[in-house]
Amino acid sequence: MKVARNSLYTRLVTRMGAILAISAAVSLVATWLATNYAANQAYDKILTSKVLQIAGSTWYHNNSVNVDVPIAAISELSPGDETYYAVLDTNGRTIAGDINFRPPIPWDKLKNGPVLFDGTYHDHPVRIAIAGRYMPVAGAHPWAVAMLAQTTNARLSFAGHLTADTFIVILIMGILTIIAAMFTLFQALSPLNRIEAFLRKRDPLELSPLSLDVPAEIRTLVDTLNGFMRRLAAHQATSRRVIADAAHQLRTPVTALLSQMELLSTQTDEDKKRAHLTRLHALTRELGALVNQLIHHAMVQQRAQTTPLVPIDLAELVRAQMTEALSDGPTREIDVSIGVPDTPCIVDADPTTLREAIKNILHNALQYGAPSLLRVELARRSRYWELRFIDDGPGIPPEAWRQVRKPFSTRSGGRGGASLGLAIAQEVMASHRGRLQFAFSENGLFMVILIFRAGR
Amino acid sequence: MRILLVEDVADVAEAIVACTQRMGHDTDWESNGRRAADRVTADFYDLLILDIMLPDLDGLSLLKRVRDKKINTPVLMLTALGEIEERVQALDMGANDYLVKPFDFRELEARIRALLRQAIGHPTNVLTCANLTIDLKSHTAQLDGDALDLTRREVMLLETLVTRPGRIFSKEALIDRLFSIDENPNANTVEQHVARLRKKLTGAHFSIRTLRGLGYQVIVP
Repeated sequence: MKVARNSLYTRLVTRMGAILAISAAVSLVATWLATNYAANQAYDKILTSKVLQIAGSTWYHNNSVNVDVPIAAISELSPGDETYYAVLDTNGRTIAGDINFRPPIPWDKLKNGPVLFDGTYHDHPVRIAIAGRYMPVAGAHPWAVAMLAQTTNARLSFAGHLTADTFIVILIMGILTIIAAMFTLFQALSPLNRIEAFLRKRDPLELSPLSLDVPAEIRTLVDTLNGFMRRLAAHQATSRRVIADAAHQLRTPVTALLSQMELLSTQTDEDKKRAHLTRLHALTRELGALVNQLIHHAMVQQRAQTTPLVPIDLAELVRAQMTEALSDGPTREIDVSIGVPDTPCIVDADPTTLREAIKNILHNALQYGAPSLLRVELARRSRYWELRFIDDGPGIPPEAWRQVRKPFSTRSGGRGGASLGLAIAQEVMASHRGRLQFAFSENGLFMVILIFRAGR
Repeated sequence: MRILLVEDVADVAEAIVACTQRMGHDTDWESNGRRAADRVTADFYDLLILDIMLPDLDGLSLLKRVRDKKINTPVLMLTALGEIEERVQALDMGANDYLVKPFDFRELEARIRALLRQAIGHPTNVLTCANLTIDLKSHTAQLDGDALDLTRREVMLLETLVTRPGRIFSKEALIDRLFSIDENPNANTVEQHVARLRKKLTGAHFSIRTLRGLGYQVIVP
């Protein structure tokens, strides 16, 4: 199992913190922009009304422009801000205010009302408002011009204060949210810790379901764990039974061997000695076959859990196994045939165990069935490949079909062997997600049928 | 023939030595893998029978050493390792045949006979199967001493099948052996030849069995 470097908890908290930090930054920037805009709007309004006030206090008399600047109009707009002003007559002379204050005048815009723009004066950034008052004179610019400028400190500090206040609120809210989130996450994840603690305290051999109260979201996890343990327990039970059966199956023939040997050693009659020897030979052979089957059974079980399936040509594999089973096979008159499609029949399989399964079925057919006929057919049935082993032997009676799939099922007819062949086939088919079936055809022939999913 | 048996289980070795001696061969027995490797230096032996699990040097490594020395003596491996992979590995490494323990001594005898025959061919130029004899030099066949009227191709077919009774020869393998590509042979041609051969072999104490979809084999009851 791969373990992430940091815990689920840390990861969730970090992610949540990051999201909160980003959203705080975004709202701060937004607040800054909005307050700046609002402050500018408000101060611009004041500036405009003051410049209009100055412009409104000009009049034309004796061919000259006069002005009487109202004090309120040039009073400081806010503490810490400088105000500059000047009034020009129609010839462009300064008739009041600061002579040096000469910002560029947008003449063509004057008739539309006061003009506002940013500039600098005395090396300070300033906001300038200019308004004109029409004078009854001829010339290019018949305007008395009132100009008013103001440094921007008040605007900036206004926006700055508002933003700083907002920042503090966001910070406090953020910290509270993080604390709440941490607590919630801790609570949400605590069932996992409980399961862990519960499992750790448990006896490793104990495989009964977990009896824990958990929230609905974790229920599936616990159910999965329980399902896994159920399968493990079933598997353990099977292996226990198989070991017990194997012990029985191995001890019995060894006892038989020893008994025959004992009889042999005390026998004096030559004919009877030979009979014991023949029996010994047969018993030993059976024991050898049994040991082989036990090994194959164990191998099949082990590979079912560990070996990945690969695409193979089933027809090729069956033909090879048929050739092997029938080379030096039975010498009786027997009609053997195999019918497979000409095109490759691809299935996903573990060739090693599949060979074993097919070998066992063929062996059974040749050993116990098929007095005169053995036919193997491979055909496609929609998404499946169906492999049939058909023989004219007595077959397996339907009431034993369930039993023979299990290891060490005892069979009638007093046949030897451990009855592991079909159990192996059954297990191989299960690990291939296929099926092992038995059937009798219409004309009474016995069929062992293997069904595979067709590979891509 | 000289046979070297490398097997560390004395009970088994004793029986194999007895078996090969009964067959009329001279058999040396060695129980240690390393010592066995020192003994196989030249083409002195006609057959090596190697167990896989051996003290000092295992059978597969021993086989590798033998083949590395360019000694082509036939090798029969005995293995108790169940997995097919090991068997295949042995064949890949240059073993000629293998036998899985526990084995039947009749089976062992058959394998030894086949390997020795492979190694030396048919020294007498006469092939016998039940009551049939084939003269490999003149390509003629006799049944119970009476000459059979066979075409040259029928004799070749019979030779192939009878060399190894029990083995299944696929139609494709037989076509490769009997026909050239120019003759444009097909499965039907083989069937016709086998059918004719069967007819002419009435009275033989063996039969040619057809395994539909697989090929043909000679069955000696």
